[in-house]
Amino acid sequence: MGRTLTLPWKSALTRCVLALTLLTVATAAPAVAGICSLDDRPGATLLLPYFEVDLDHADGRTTLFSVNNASATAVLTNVVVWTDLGVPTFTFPLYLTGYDVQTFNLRDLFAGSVAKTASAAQDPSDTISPKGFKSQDIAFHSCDGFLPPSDLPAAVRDHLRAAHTGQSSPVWGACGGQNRGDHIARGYVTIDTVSRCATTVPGDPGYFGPGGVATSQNILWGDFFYVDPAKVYADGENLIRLKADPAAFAGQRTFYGRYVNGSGADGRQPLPPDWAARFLASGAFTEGTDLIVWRDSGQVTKPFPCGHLPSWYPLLLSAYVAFDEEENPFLLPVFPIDPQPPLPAPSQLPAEANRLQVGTEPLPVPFDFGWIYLHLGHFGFNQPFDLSQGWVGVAMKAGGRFSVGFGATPLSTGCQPNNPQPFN
Amino acid sequence: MNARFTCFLIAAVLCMAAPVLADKCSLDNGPAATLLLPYFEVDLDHPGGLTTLFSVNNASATAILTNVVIWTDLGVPTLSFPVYLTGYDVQSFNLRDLFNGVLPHTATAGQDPSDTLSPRGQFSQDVNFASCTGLLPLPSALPPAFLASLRAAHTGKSSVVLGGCAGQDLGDNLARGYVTVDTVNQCTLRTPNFPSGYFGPGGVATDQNVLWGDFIYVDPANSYADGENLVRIEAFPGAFKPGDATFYGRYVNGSGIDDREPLATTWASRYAIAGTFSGGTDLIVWRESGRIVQPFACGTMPPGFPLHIGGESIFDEQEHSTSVQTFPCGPFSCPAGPPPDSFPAEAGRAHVGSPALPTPFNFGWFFINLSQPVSGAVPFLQSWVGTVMKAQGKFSAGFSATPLDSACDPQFFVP
Repeated sequence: MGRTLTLPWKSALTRCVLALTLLTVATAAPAVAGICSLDDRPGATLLLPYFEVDLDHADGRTTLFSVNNASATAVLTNVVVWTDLGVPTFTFPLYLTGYDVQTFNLRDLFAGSVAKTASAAQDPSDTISPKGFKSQDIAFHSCDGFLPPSDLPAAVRDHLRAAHTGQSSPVWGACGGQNRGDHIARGYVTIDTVSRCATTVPGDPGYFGPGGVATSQNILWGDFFYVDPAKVYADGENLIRLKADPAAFAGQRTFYGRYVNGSGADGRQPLPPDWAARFLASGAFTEGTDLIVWRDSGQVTKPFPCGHLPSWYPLLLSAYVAFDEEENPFLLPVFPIDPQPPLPAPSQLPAEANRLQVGTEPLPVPFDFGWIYLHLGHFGFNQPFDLSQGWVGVAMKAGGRFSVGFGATPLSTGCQPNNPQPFN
Repeated sequence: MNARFTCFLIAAVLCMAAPVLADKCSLDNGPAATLLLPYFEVDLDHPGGLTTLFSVNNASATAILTNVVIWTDLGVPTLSFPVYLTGYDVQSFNLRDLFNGVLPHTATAGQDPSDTLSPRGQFSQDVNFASCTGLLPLPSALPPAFLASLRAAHTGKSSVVLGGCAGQDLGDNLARGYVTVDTVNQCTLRTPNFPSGYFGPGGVATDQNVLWGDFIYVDPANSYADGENLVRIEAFPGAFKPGDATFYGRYVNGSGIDDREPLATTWASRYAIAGTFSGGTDLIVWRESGRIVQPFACGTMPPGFPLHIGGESIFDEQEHSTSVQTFPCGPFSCPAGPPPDSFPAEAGRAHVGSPALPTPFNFGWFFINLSQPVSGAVPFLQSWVGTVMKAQGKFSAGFSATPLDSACDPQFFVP
């Protein structure tokens, strides 16, 4: 039986003192009051942590989501579609009148159809974005020429379909995602409140910070569903709501920290690194449990030559322990050590957006029932230890009958992230 | 005890001592000192019918004791029992078992020295709670007379044990209610509604934020299952002063000594009653009556019931709206109604589009305030809302609705 964290020092006493010191520092970190909890109140950014769309079967697996405005005030948002390795492939503005709701089927996007909305300036007769009598509808003149969006040219549609299936994008002449050998488009989506229409994405100059397009309006909520009509599955959960406070995070961890060089200028609350997820691989849930995992590579990822993968790939885990219902643990030998040993599994939650079945090679468990402790921290490239943020969801399935999905349990906050528990 | 284990225990204590999720007014999914299963249903007529599963998990290496309390849908406690969890333990429940008289079998080290009932793993603590001697392990079955009373209480029938009725009689044989799970320091027969000895100095309830879990409604006959996290109610010792809203505020006369964070009062929930989700949408609601509810004469309702709503707006996807509203007004001056009785009980399920919860739209969302105006120690009535969307005979999906405030700072606004 291995250990969860093998550190390059020798004595048990030294290991203990260092682990406790790290733990003490982590627990003593100042809290950012009121904005660190990962709750379901409306946020300034929504995260759809993972999507999949079966491009070979028109009635196959797809992902639905909704974006809702909790306020009477009209709001402009920027929707960004990312590959599973974190390369942005497409962005479009979405305008919401007060109390508006906009639903999406990502299959439509991969067929070239973009959600049609328009502010009062582009839609004076209210035929595209109608409003109720309690809802504000205003003009964003910066959206002239952007809204309503037209359907995608064939070349852009082909770019999307290629980039999200790990093929060479005709736009980039390069790849942006994992090639899993199927024709399922994978990735994740972010939605930010913004002050004007623009073609920028997080990480571009002028997106965050003073004068940037991103705003801190904590008014967005929504949900998402994975629907697989062929297998009669559907499960859903709330989109992750990231609260913003432009003054709260100066120099601290934030959700978009890698795109603002750790300055905190995005003002978005970070996610935690450590999670607990229950699993069932027998009984009523005959098809077992999948984990949906979004995680931060800590890197700004650009398109890369096909046949290669980004330098940070695969993302590792700093702790993985599976317990059965009698608390018997199962541990993997893990990293980091120098030199690195052969990995016990070829990859563990290797991408930024992942869906993996519990009990398969990347997530081995010798038990039918129990729970998994995951710490998504991984060694950064210029840091001794990077407490990387993430989100974990659980989907339990009964073959051809039903499935159940819900968020896993965060064991800390992104503001006060725990180090890996010292199982050894 | 070797050095490695000592180090591990110190680290575990450090982890437990840290308020890892530090916002006392945020309804997040971090481990907590109280878990709430907001609503359960068990079809007592059909052994293979609708039931409710839930799990209680211990996030810490330290062994803990919990007190599980079963309440009717009107908020009368009918049964409580201790459940012991070794470190990192998980205990799963099928409420059908309970209504068949079967109780979970756990025991602390003192009652289970050979670790046959509550085994533990190498990272898990297992301790003796001497107070549990004689109580744990629980009997293998409830006495038949008690079981009959339990089934009656949760189906709105007369309970011999309670001396009256305790829940709604909705004309079916579905057992309904809700469940709370508190961390405690000794085995007890008390429940949170005891006038003393449960919370506060010398009380049995503790503030160990270590519990997590989930619940699943399973309807095998209709091939439905949907689930969600149990509501996690964190404890913040000393953070609440008299007059503050807390989860058990009605049982501590608004003193705040239960230390439990309150829920929200206003919620947003999306719904669909056409299209893919042809089976429509149900709202699952737990709400506080603000009262300590006692068994009552059958054929009547306890004082304060049915519960009303504070206000409601329903929007379609083009923001057309319809309202039922008693706000804006102060919490002590609102007229009593008559708003619709969509959620008349403390725990319930309502089908969107039914007479109980009408809507003129096939798609849209609810903006709903469940804090009906009351006076007394608990002026702001907290609640939790969940959403279940169903495709007829195919699948369903459930998730929590969106809280728009906290009872720490309730908003009295409905658009």
